[in-house]
Amino acid sequence: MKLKIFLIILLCFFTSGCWNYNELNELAIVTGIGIDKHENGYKVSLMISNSRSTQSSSREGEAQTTVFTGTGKTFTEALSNIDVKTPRNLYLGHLEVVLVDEEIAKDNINIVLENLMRNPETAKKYYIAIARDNKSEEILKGLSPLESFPSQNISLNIQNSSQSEGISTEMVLSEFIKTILKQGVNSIAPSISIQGEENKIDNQESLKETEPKAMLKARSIGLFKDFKLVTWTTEKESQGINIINNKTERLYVTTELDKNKKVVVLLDSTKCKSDININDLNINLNINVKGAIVETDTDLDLENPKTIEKINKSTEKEIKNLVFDGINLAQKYKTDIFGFGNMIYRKDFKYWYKVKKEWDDNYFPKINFKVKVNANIESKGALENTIKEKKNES
Amino acid sequence: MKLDKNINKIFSKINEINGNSPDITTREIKIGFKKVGYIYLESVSSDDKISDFLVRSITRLKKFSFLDNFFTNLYNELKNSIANSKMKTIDNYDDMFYYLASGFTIVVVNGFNKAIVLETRETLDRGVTEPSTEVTIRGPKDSMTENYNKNIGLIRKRIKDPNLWFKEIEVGKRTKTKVSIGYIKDIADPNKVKRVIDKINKIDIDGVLDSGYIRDFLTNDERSSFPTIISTERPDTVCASLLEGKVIVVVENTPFVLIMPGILANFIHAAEDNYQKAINVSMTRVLRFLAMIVTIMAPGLYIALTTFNQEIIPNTLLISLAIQRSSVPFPTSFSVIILMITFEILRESDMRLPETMGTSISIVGALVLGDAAVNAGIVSPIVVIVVAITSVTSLLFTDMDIVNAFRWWRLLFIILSTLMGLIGFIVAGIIFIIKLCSIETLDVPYLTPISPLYPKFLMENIITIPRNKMKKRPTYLDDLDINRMGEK
Repeated sequence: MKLKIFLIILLCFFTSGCWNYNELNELAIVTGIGIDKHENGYKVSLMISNSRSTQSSSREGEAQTTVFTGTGKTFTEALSNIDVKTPRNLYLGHLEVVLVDEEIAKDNINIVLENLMRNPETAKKYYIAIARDNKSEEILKGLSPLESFPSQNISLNIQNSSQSEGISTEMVLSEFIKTILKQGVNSIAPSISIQGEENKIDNQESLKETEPKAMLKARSIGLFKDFKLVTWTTEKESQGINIINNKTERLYVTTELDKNKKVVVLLDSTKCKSDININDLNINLNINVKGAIVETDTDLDLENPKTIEKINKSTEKEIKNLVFDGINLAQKYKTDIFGFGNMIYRKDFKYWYKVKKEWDDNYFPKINFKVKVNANIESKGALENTIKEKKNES
Repeated sequence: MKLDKNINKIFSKINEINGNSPDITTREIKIGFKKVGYIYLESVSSDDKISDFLVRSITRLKKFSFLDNFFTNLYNELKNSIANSKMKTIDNYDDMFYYLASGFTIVVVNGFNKAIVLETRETLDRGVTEPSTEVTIRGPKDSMTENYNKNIGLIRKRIKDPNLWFKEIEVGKRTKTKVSIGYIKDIADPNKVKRVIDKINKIDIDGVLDSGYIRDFLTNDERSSFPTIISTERPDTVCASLLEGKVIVVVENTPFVLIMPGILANFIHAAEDNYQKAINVSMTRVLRFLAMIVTIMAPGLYIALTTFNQEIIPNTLLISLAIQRSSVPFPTSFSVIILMITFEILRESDMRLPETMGTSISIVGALVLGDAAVNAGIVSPIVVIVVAITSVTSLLFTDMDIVNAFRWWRLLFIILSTLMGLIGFIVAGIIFIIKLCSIETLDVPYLTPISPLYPKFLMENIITIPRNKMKKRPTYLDDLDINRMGEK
């Protein structure tokens, strides 16, 4: 009896096991996908990171990546077109970035999302970005002198420019889908393009030069309305949008006190609280900002509290301008990317279902915003006063 | 068989039974009217002692040779003349052989069917040396030897308590080895002591050459790889266990003393833990616990992650692993097992070889394991790292049995991970925990104090606490006296 049970258990192991067994060298690790429009339908480019490389490069941890492309009427058809060309199994588990061509984004991005979300292999934690001005295939091929893997080059580029500059925004696929499915929110996505000589971006030789001929550059945010890309922002507008969405971690703001008295302030904590009044559609934004002075080229007396007060005031004004830039753009293109509709849904869902269909087109552009900024400069860095002021004193 | 009266008959009988062994020495001395003979085994007896004391004393007895009570006189004379000797009279052949083999000399007198035995043993032991298997930096540096009495002496020297009791039992039909069960009477649980004594009394074996022979009779877990009896050559470890209320078994002719019952924590701890600062030892113990987990699970986890569940490995690492593997033709599990076998062979050969040749082996081993296998494309560098970590962590433990037990479980983790990936790994983990929970010795579960939980002793066993805070003995041993400090 014991032997029988043992055999049955053993049989379970041997008959059911191994179905997803894959040695690492049998996998083609896809770290980036680019989707472009093509005359046949779609052109999909896959960046495969573990291509054959020399012994020395594997020791340094460098990988040579290859980009495979395939076309097809549907996304899946294009993928299987690539599968035929590669000797290994395509493995999407470590996907890091998905680039969608501007044309597809303007048309309908759902085509891409549907397939990616349905695939159980992918982790849904990869960045989604729009290829702006360039084909996504070209951007995928882009090499960087600093990063070994081009896909990381793209994702780190987006991360960095959204965290420290507030120009771009980090958007992973799961979050992108979440905002699309939520009531009363529209999505945004970062964009990326090539700067420099476009045909040199995939040239290994150009990496050896001290100044690469072409580099990838994170660009501003694209605003979506449902599944369609409606407009791009300018850098200031995207900063404003990021402030309202509480997505800024660090932000440099240049303010002008008087004429030619410029001060650069680094905001390391911005908190935005919004409060909506449903009856007359008024929204109050309370923004609390903490920062530090990082640069000034004039003779301000920073030891005087009044000067600091002045800087606070002008920073507040500057931020107000940024915020209104963002709001105006969104209202102009009639897309509620801030999720105020969602706030109404949470406050009064009966009212929300009444206005839901016309919210973006009729209600959102008419909202009155009252923005109150409270800036507080807490630090002056390593210097107590400006150097010029000190010179004048002595 | 009763002794004969005629000494020539006795001599011939001994030679006959022993098959004319070359080391049997017999001699006959005429003292007046009486014939006195003596027999000893040259190989185990000291010639000096015999000629110095025995022969001189016997020849001095000439004047009594006509008396009827010559035998008694001889006994008294020998007793008075030989310093520090054990003397006995015997009257049969079975006893005679026992004493002969133990290094005693038998004195027989013609006309008496009794014989005098007196100790003329040659010391065949080495002296007390430093322990070779359980080396410590801090702490006593003496170790048990092959001498039974010295071993008991080393324990007695440390615990000068009249309640330290030893019960001696003779085991082995042919070897007649002395085995003694030691315990502190007013601490150890009498039930446990009785069970150990009963088990040893029941042993039916022809020979006992090491405490390892006895160990298999004391437990009934021959199908489990985990040791449940601690064996140590450190007298301080033995004494610490006695003070905890454990039972020890000292066996003749072996430096390894058995301690019962043993729990898993005992095998992970080292003797040195008791002598260093508690707060530092705690860190070491956590490391050792970690090492135990690594040595059992690391290869299995590596196989599960790289062949089934790649999504867990970070992106850059996965790509670099994939590139490293690109030139290796064998499956990952195969190369892991090959490398592990190679290591085990090297370890075994290193242990058996004399020390002078050991270094050359380790150089070859390091080259074969490390560089050549990678360059030849048989294994990938990361596999070498995994197997190296596994092997190094396994050497943290002093008890050879537990190291070899881990080896079995490592194999189970490797096999199940190869078949089913992380699911198999978890199944192996469940089997591992169930197995650990099911072991017990002398009613003490193996995973005490974790399961069953003894919160008070968790701190003491998993990490450690300073001596001045250790107020109680471990209660899970059912000690009679649980107070280390204060009144009984």
